[in-house]
Formats: sequence, structure tokens, C-alpha cells
Amino acid sequence: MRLAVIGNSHVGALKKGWDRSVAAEFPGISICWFASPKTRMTEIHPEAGALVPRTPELERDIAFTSDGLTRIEADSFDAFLVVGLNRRLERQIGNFCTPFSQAARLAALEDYWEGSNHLKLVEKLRRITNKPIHSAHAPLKSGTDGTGGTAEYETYLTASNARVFAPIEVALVPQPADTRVGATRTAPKFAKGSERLETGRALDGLAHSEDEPFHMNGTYGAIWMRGFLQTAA
Amino acid sequence: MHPYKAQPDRAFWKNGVENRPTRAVPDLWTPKFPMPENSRVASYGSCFAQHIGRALEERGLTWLRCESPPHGMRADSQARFGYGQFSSRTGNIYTASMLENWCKWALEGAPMPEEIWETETGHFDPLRPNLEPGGFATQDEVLAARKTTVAAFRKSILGADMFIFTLGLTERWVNRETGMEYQICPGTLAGSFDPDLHQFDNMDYAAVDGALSRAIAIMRRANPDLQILLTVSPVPLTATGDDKHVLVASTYSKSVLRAVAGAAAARDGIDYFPSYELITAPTMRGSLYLPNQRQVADNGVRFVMQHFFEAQGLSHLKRKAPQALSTLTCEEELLDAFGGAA
Repeated sequence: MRLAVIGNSHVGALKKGWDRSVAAEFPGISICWFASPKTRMTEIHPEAGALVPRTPELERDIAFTSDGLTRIEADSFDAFLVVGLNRRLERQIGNFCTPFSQAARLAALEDYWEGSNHLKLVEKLRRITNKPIHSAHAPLKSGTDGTGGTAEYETYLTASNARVFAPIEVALVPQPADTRVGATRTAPKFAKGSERLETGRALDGLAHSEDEPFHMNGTYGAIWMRGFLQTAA
Repeated sequence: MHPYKAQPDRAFWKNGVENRPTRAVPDLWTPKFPMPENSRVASYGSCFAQHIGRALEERGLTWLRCESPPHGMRADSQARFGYGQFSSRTGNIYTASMLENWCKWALEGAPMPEEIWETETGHFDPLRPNLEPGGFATQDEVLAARKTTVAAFRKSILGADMFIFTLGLTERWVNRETGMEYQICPGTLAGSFDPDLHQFDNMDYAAVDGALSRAIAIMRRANPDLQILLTVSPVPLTATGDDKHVLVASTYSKSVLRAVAGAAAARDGIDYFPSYELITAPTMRGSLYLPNQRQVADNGVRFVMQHFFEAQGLSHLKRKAPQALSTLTCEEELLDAFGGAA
């Protein structure tokens, strides 16, 4: 299977996990990475069966992370994984741990995803291909103060798939249970030693600060990729 | 020499109104107490009151939002679900007696009514049937939401320096057996009307004054320093349940509310802001209403709020990111749909 992984800085953890240990476990899978920090990937647009960067910065990031490609050709891959480009999902899931009405929770859920760059990128991708698309939300913020539990997290994922992703034939992939604390946090050990996304810039590969709670390390990435590929492959 | 000789210009129609440009009404209101920029304000009332919180927030003032919407909910969805209209999610409180009820539930621990309307689409709270589009999924959701709002209402009263309340109606519908007051006539928005059970009541001066006085007393027991600012909605009735013409019924209702507000404002710590006068004055020639001569136009709202901030010495606060003013939730307007109005 030829897999294209497209996203922002959160791609970094998945790639590190893949490179360090997971790739050897899945010899039949090749991955091409397309990543650019923050929301820069929003400057990519569908055009004649491909996603094409509209800014030189994004084109440069895509070329760097993909080893020279300057556009994402749908025909070159069998499946796609869109990573990150959503913010503070833990608060969204927290809605399901708070006594809001179910209708209000679901309205907020739809609003959240509809307003996210993640879904916009997924929709652009869907416009150029009917092949499988998987979605990976940004990791939950790290911490030990997670609220709710597996049931609330799964309820949230199920509702997101039913109301947002399934209608466009996309699957939102859960963050592995053994990385979560409650429904709303990632265990702090996975945030230790996380590194910046490598895009050929000065800060490449440098560790995030100790208290940076949003980016995860290669161990997290390995667990995530292994779990995902066991299902998707 | 007689007393009128010593009266200022604003005391005379000719100098205070007639000889002024149409919308220049200086000295209309001298606040009894200032609203410092760091004031924490709670607001409730009829649908016209929904403008207050927005106007305060647009100027960077602290309007208490004690009941937060789910994270990620857009502003338009928040409005559909009744968030961000008042300091808690009470929905419109049209009458002084409903305000008294909320005060009793939130600040005195009085039991809430048990009645819930169940329909094919969902469960509706008769205290605020317009709160959830399609209704709540279960009775438990209705009760949980009430509990949340009661706690938030309490928090807003305890945390406020100023409580702004807009009196809207004297007409109300009550349950003959339980005494429960409904936000809107059963059967219009949800529920079903039972002529043997549901009774129309048009409150008179004594009833409104009594309910408002008791509500204020309850709030003051909980927050002795709370300043009260009353207004009267300039929005006429959509429909009357009385046997009078709606114009006559409107005038009665607004007259009673205005008189009660005026009397209340004579007491310590209570003031009256004349938004009603600003919109309805003959000199305005109805220009601050929409063409139906009932709903207040956006420029009318801005006119009122401009007076408010100028009188409070806060006109230097400029509006930030103004929101659409016309997206109010007014259950009362739904009466049009049920009353055969064209």
C-alpha cells in the first residue's frame, strides 16, 4: 500500500515512530510524507487530480518532507492520512463529560469540525480522489487531569464519524487508548522529548520545551502508527 | 413666582423635546449610580433585553456569562440553543412574576415545577420551550439543563454589581392546578392547550409591583450591594390573550410596567433607564421601529444604547466587532403563527 500522510507539525511524531520501529513491521507499506507547520497546509488546493501548493513556502516544505515532490498526486497513492490541523479537541470531547444536552453537544461538534482546517483539507482531498481517506486528530493535550473515560472518548469519535466524516466517506481514527488519560488528555510521558517537525529550517529536530503539552514524541507516534496500520492495512 | 419658573429646560416639552432636533434628547436620563468600567453586569428580561449584553461586550465591559455553551459552538448555534442571550440560559423572562420564580428557585432553593412537555420531536421545558431546537432528548436532559441554569442564574446574581432587567409583559398563562407560570401559552410553541387547565392572567399594577419587589428583595438578600437597573421593553405585544384590541392591550401592559418601574426606581439602589421613551416618543415618529411598527430596528437599538453609554460617561468606549442585532429569540412572536395573523 502506498500511503500519503498529509498534515502539520503533528506529522513529526508519526514519522519518527514509523522510522524508528514501525516501518520494519509493515514491509508492504510505503509512506510519503507531506508536512508543513501550523496552518500552512491550508494553502494547498485541488487541481487536476492533485493537491497543489499555492505559496512558495508550502511548496518548499512539501518538497522537503516528501523528498522532492511538489504536489500530491492522487493517482500516486492507494490511501491518505490527514493529520492535525485541528485545535484543542480535548475541550470538544469535554463537552461529552459535561451535562450539556446531546443536541447541543452535537451542534458544537459539527460547528467545530466545520470550522477546522482539518476538515477543509480532507474535503479538498476528497474532491480529487475516491480512495480511502483517514483522519488523525491532533493529539489530546498532555496531562494527568483528564476527565471522562473511554466511553466518552469513543462516544465523541463515533458521533464525529457519523455526523461529519462518514458522509464524505472518511474515517476519523481514534487516538490509541493506551496513550490517553481519561477522555481528554494524553499521558505526559508521550510529550517528553517531542521534537519539532523537520522542514529544512533552523529549528528542525530541536526538542520542544519541557512543558510543551501539545506535541508528542516518537514513542507516541509508533503506538499510533502501529495501531492504525494494523487496522488500515 | 411658581415652581415651574425654577425648572430646567428638560422639564418643558417645548425646550426639552419640540425645539430639539428629532433624535437629540439631552438630559433624558441622569443615572442614580454610575457604572464603572470594571462593573460586572447581569442582564435578563424580555427579548429586547438580549441587546444589553451584546452592547456591553462590544464595548469591552464585563457582562456576566454564567452559563457557557459547549466548546466549539458557533455564535449562530449558540443563539439557536439560547446561549449568550442573557447571563444564564433562562430564555426570555417576560414578566416580573417569572423573574420572582427564577429568584426563588436559584436563591431560595424553592422546588421547580415538575411539568415537562413531551412531543414527537422531543421534550420541552415549559419555562423556556424555545431553548432547544426540536426539544431535549429526554426528561432527564430537561431537568439537568434546569439545574445548570439555576446554578448559573444564582452565580450571576451573586457575582454582579449591577442587575439589568427589562420588563416585557403583564399577560401570562398559568396552570390552574399547580400555579406554574409558563413562558408562553401552552400549545403555541410546544405542549397542548387545555382550557380547563391553562388560565390567562393579565397582571395589574399591584401584582407586577409585588412580584418585582419580592424578586428584588430576594436578590438583595443574596447580594446586598446589587444595584438594579430597570427598563421597559418598547416592543408592543404580538398578540393579546385578553378581549381587547392588541393596541389597547399593549398600552395597558406597557403602562403598568412603566408605572411599576418608575415607582421601584424611587427606592434606594434601583434606577430606571428610559429605553421605552427613547423608542416610543412621538418625536421619533415610529422611525426606530421596523416597518411592522413593532420590532425595534437595529438603529433604534444603537440609539438606545448610545444614550445609555453617554449618560454613564462611557461613550468613549467604542464598539468592537459589532454583532448582528436582529437575530433575537422572541417566543412571543410565535403567537403570530398561531393566531392567524397574515
